[in-house]
Amino acid sequence: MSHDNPRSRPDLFSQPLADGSTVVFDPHTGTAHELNPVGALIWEYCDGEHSIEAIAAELHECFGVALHDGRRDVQCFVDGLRQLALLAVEAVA
Amino acid sequence: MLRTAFRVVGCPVAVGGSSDCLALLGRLLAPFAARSATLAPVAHVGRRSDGLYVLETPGHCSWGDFLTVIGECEWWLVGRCLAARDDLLQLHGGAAADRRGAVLLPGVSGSGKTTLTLALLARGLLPLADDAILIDGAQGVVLPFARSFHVDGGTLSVVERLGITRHLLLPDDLAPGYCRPRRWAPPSAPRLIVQPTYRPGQPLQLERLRPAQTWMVLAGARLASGGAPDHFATVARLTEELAAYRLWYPDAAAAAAAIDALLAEEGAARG
Repeated sequence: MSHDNPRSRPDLFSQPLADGSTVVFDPHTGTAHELNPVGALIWEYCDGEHSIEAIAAELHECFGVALHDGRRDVQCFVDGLRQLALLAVEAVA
Repeated sequence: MLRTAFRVVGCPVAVGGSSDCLALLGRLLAPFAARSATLAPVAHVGRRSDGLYVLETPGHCSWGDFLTVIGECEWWLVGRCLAARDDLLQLHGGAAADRRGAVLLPGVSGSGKTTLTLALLARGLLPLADDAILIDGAQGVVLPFARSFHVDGGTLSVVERLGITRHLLLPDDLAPGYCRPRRWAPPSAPRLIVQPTYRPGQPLQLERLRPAQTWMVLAGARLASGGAPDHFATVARLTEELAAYRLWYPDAAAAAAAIDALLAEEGAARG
């Protein structure tokens, strides 16, 4: 596992829904975020085990997104998650 | 000192105080009246020497005029009992039901859920709740919660216009700002979610909610966070199983008719 790999905050509650979307709920702030099916897939792989590259490969596999576009989209999405403080912040040694 | 006891959602609670306070509390909470000779009062309410009324609960004391203090005491007693039932998913909202099932009306104060619940009575539905919807996730039913309705002047005028006062509500012996239906629905399976917003002067508008929007409406309407994992499972199941709409309405009767039609649609869809 690399510290560069995105990892969702463990204290968040996420609920996959029937239409492929996922709701991510922050119990500390009471705010909820809706992720569309593509975002939901990326979120699922924000487990600290998968790199941006690996998630883009999953996106290619599941949705046929070109790898180059996928890398850019995943990076952009992960940046958004980070801005929303939905990702764990790794301690710097 | 006088005392009176209640059993709200299965939880016993007693209050002590002066006879005028206990008499009104007894009328407001009549469906929950209980006999308990031994239960120690957890709250005291009575009149001070300066004429104001005071409510004393563990760690809290407040005072004001008679109706304000009685209203606060009623909610404190109910809230205490609800807090003890974290096995129930509790949503801020109204609810009503008929043989087709229950419609949930989650909404914040002022959204018109009480008015709409009362308007649904005029269409033959029976009430389940005014402002606290109790859902037994294990049984998959909405439980009736026979607490008095809180009604403001605007809601009362709608009630009178709909002509439901006499035959559906009890005679007005509670207090200004309260009313109580004569009959309540039995525990009912939830069938429909409608989040109402009163919007005068605009046309009625219905919008179907996406699953994520439904989830957010339900999760955002939770009254308490206790038992959260189970409650989220119930919220997810309701999201999965029920059609949900956002309803903007200028007129309670038209909104109730629209909800009635949605319930019929749901019934037809389920065969």
